[in-house]
Amino acid sequence: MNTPFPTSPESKHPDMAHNEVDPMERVDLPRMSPWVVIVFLVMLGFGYIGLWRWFLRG
Amino acid sequence: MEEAQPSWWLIAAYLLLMMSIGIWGRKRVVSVEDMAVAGRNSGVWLIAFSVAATWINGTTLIGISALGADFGLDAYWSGGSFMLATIWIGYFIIPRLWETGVITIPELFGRYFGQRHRTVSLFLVILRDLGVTAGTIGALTVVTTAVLKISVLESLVLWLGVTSAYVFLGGMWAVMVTDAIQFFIILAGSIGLLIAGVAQAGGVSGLRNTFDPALLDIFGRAGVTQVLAWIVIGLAITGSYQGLIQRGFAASSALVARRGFLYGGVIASLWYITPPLIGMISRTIYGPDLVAEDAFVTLAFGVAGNQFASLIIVCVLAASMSTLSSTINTIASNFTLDLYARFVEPTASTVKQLWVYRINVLIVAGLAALIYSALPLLIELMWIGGRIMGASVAPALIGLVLFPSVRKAPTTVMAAMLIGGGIQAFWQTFGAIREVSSVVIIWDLDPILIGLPITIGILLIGTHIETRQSEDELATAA
Repeated sequence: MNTPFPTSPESKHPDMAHNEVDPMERVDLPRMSPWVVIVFLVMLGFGYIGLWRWFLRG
Repeated sequence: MEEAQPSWWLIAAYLLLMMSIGIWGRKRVVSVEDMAVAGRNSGVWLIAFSVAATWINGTTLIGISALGADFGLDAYWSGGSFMLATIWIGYFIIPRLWETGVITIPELFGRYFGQRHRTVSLFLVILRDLGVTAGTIGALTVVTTAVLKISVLESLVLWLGVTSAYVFLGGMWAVMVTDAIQFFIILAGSIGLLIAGVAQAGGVSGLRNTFDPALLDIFGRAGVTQVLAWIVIGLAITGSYQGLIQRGFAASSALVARRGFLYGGVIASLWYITPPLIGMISRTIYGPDLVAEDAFVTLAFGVAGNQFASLIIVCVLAASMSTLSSTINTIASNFTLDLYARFVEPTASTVKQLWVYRINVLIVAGLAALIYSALPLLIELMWIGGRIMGASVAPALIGLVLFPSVRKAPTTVMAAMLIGGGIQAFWQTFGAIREVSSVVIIWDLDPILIGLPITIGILLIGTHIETRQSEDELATAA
């Protein structure tokens, strides 16, 4: 399943094939739901445009 | 615009500075990993400025100014959504990807699912990145042929030549340091032009009196569905934009990568209102006869003296070359690690790998020139491959990072990439087009709004079925 690939001798990351634990699981996800954060960011974007609209309309 | 006398010395000084950084970077490159991800040793602000500069290119300045002239404030979403998505992936995706230690996205798929997944994702990722490279050199060519009175061939050779030369020498080191410098040049040129444009239009109060109110609508001429599509395109494409993600791999730690993306994303999100505003001001000053694609350049030479106009040309050069260098470098890393190292010579020495990588840099630059010559629709060029990637690799990658169950569903991931990408390509070929503007196509229903939900659906249902089957098999075996 896993494939070797060329890494330099200085690499800080050994090949994942030799790791017992999935390296992704070393990082915990933030507590907030990612989907709520997307909606929040889009709303922020609309708020930002709205601010410019308000400024330019006077 | 025709009367402008650009300062070649300023342009030459800029190009020399970029080349000297490439020469400096050459000393730091001793392996493929140095070329591709700068030895994984970069700090927060270098990543932040590099992320911001990568997202700002000639197409952004020319293309989104054109969209601003035609569609007003709506045009923000054609670029701003990518910046907001950058903040998001910086928070949720990049740190986990950093921990895997991969260099390319196809490599990640290969490690989790095997070689077939690596090949399919490689094809889809390159499709997008070559489109971006071609679109970026195209935008630069449009400006420089008009302003500097050089031919298309001269433009392609000069700008691609210098960019590929400093990437050839210094790899990601040169890319990131030049990016940081280019970011400040972009900032000075674009904000300076905005201020000069406002002054030319009679100040803010003058603009308020003369702006077409339709340009200020939140859902103006582009309409709700197209604005929604721009938002979705931004979110989807950013999710697997390898040239951007590799900035995260260049960080010295997962936390540094997260902060770099967060700061870079916020800076670029705020900046991205600049090109739509430049387009809107240009439209207001020069009226309805102005060709949208000329909005940026016309304003630059209409309001600025020769020296300032030259700074703006350098700004366009900086914006384009920061993106070009990034995409050229990232595709070269794919050609080297995902093709050469796999199929040609897996046991090549470090020195040979490095030379192959450098030759690939030159090959990618040549390919981009050929593609632009064949298909010169600027922003659409970026989005054709981008939509296909955004509806195939991006949701699969995000699923892979966020949900461990997806990592156990290779068949589903393959099906999602193939079906999602296929439907996207089909819809882009046969979907109904409402309008072909100077830089983009306005669709009746943007293809991404068809392809992405189908891919997400396949991932959700397929993963559920496939992982449940595996559990059943395990239970039976026990």
